[in-house]
Formats: sequence, structure tokens, C-alpha cells
Amino acid sequence: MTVEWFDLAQRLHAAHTGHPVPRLIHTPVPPIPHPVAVRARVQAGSVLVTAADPTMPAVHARDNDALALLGDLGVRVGAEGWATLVTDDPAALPALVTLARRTDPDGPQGEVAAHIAWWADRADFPGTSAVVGLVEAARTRWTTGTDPDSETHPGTWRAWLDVPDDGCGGLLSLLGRVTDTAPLPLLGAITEDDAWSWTKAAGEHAEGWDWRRPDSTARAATGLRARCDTADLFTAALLGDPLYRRRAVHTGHVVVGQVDHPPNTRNRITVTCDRMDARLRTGNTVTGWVGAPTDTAPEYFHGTIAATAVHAGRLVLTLSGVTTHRPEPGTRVTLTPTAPSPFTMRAGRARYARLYTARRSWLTTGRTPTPARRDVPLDVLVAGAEDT
Amino acid sequence: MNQPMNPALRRYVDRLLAGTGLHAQDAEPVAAGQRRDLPPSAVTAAAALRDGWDTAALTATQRAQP
Repeated sequence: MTVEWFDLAQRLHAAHTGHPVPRLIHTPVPPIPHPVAVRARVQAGSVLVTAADPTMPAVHARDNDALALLGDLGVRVGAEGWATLVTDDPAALPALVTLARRTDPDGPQGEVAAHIAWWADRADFPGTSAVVGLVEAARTRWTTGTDPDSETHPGTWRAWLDVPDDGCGGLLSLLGRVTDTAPLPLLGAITEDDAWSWTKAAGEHAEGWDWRRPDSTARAATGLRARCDTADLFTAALLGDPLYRRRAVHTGHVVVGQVDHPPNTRNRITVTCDRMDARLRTGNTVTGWVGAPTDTAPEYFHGTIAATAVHAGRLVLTLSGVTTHRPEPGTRVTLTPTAPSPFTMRAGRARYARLYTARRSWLTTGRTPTPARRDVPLDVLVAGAEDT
Repeated sequence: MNQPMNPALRRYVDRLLAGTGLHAQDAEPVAAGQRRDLPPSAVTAAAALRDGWDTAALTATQRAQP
């Protein structure tokens, strides 16, 4: 892989020009209709909160007053829609959860605490509209002319994006900069899942369900599956961006090569790759088009990697099932993994959840199931490790 | 803005280029295509650097257009 050198050149270009270099044409953040900018920290047993929204300047409060402040800003699970937590500090949400856990579930701030718990749940879902970590979002969208460690500091982004206000008002300005273009198309499906999850959380709170209780096995398992699905969807969303695809050639996730037709086949093609480090494997479904990774193609072909081989020092992929828009021999094509269908994912999760409730399913009877394995995305593993 | 490379970035560049025969001061001329007398050990890195630089330059051009 050569992506480190690709990124390095972008850093050098940013340092040369003084402008951050876009890594995406789109924004990785979905539309945020109700942002609430928050900083929070635990200090000597108290939780100090500073919060603002576009209609109200920053207010400071602590403990129960902080919960009341958030409630006034619409952070209530009984509200018509959800508020989005906007922050530049990874410690803010854990501090808010500490505060939420101190509340009486049936007390006046129970609705605020349940909303914070929903934030904590959805924060594990990349591309969510529930929580926006501004530093991570900015790093996904741009590269600065600094070393990567410096990019983990919010001050670096305020300087490079010309946002001098380091208070909560500045957080909203940073959000405006990060979201000043169209979102990645597949983010809409993740926002739909946010809406479904929000309605579920509101219903459970109304029925008296206490979010502090540990998850049941079924809830934990379906939650893990939903997180994996969303991570896959977000990865596919990134690959939908032309600039990201150009970079992904250097990670092996996008493949460029030349087409040939094997003899006596009507729906197979071979692609002789420019590089050896392709990450496409036998069995992967792929989408391709004639042209470069940055092109928006008028038509696409689809297929499955049937075989991989090395001939004369070149990686050759054989694709089967290429029934429509089969490219002509000699044309140069780009291949990417086929994006998952949000509809199919949801149907799969619903089937999975039913297995946990049906009395005769292999899950509830303890019968040995047919093995079906999948990779758990690294982001999900890291989030799980951080939760323990 | 065309400033000297800050020390943290310079250290980072040197680390990434270790083993290629290039050093921090070489990185920008190679990326910008101004230097082509490369040792064989630097050819792969140079191609990736040029692609990253060209992609950045392309987006900068698009940003500059009204």
C-alpha cells in the first residue's frame, strides 16, 4: 500500500498553500437540523457543562442545573425530534453519561438522561446524525499541513478552517464549515436508522424501560450486528466519493485495470490490474465502470470475483456474472466493492432479531447453527474495547 | 503561505520516507514533479507522492474557480 505517501503529499500541498486539502467532495456528516454544541467535564465529582445552540449563546451549568439546561435546549427523549450532540472533545459524552447515570429514572430529568443515553448508544454508529465529533469529521473531510498528531487537537482545525471562537459558538461555526457541501449519498440510510432508533428509545422510555439496565443477550447481539452494518454502509458511502476513490487506489480498495474477454464465455471478463495490492477477494461482488476512479460513469457493470491469479507479474481478476454493460476488451476500467443495500441489511437484522424471540429457533433452543462468519469492522472492535 | 516545514511535520516526513532514499527536503520537489533524478528505492514512493500532490492541486484549482 502506498496511501501513506499519497496522504503525505497532500499534507505537503496544504503546508505549501496554507489551505486544507479536501479528502472528499462530499461532507461525511448528514444534515443536522437541531445541533446542540456541548463541552462537558468531570471536576471534583461535579459535571460541568457548557452548551449552546444556534438560537442561544453558550451557558455554563453544573450537575442537575446542567441537565435542566440541556432539557431547555431540547435534549429530551420526549421531544418531537432528536437533538444532535456537537462537540470537539471525546471526553464530553462520557462526562454527560456520568451525569445521566446520577438521575432518578422517574425524576424530572429522566427524559434528558434517556436522551443522553441514546447519544451514547448511537455514537458507535459512523455517519450518525445523533452525535458529531467535529475533529473526526474534519479529519475525514480534509488534510492539513501538519503532522497527524496535531490534527487530533481541535485548535488545529479552528486555525486551518479560520474559526477563531474557541467556545461553543465556535463549535457551531466548525459544524457549518464541515457541512457546507452535499452529504455522502448513503448517509441518508444511516439517518433513517437514527430515526427508527430514536422512536424506539422514546417508546421504551414512555413504557418505563430503564436504559441503565445491562443489555439482554438478544439486544447486545442485534446491537452489534447493527453497528457492523452501519460501519459497512459508511465505508461504502466513502467509496461513493470520487476523491476518496482516487485515494483508495493506494489502499487497494479500488482497482484499476484493463479488460479482456476469456475465450468461450459470455458473462465473464478478466481485469489485469495496474497494481498488485488489490483487496478484492474471490467471492466479493464488485461494481465497475469504464474510466478512472474519479469518473462518474453513465453506466455500470456488476460481477463477482470468481478467481484471482498472477500472470507475468500482474494481478489478474476474473469476474463472473457480468451480464449487462460488459466492457469491451482493451478498455480501462475501475472496480470497487459493491455497496451493501440498506434495505437488505434491515431485513437481515429483522430476521436475526426474530431468531432471538422465536421459541423454536436455533438461538433460543441452543441447537448448533450452520456456521456463517464475517469480519467485524475494526471501528466496531475498537468501540467495543473502549466500552469494557 | 509558503512557510518552512514545521519541525513535527519534518520529523513525520522523515519517518515516512525512511528506506526510500529520500529525506524531508526532497519530498515536496518530488511530489510536485520538480525532481526526477530518483534512486530506484524511491520510485514507488515518488509515484504515490505525485498522485497525492496532483489530486490536491486539482481540488485547489476547482476551489479557485468562481
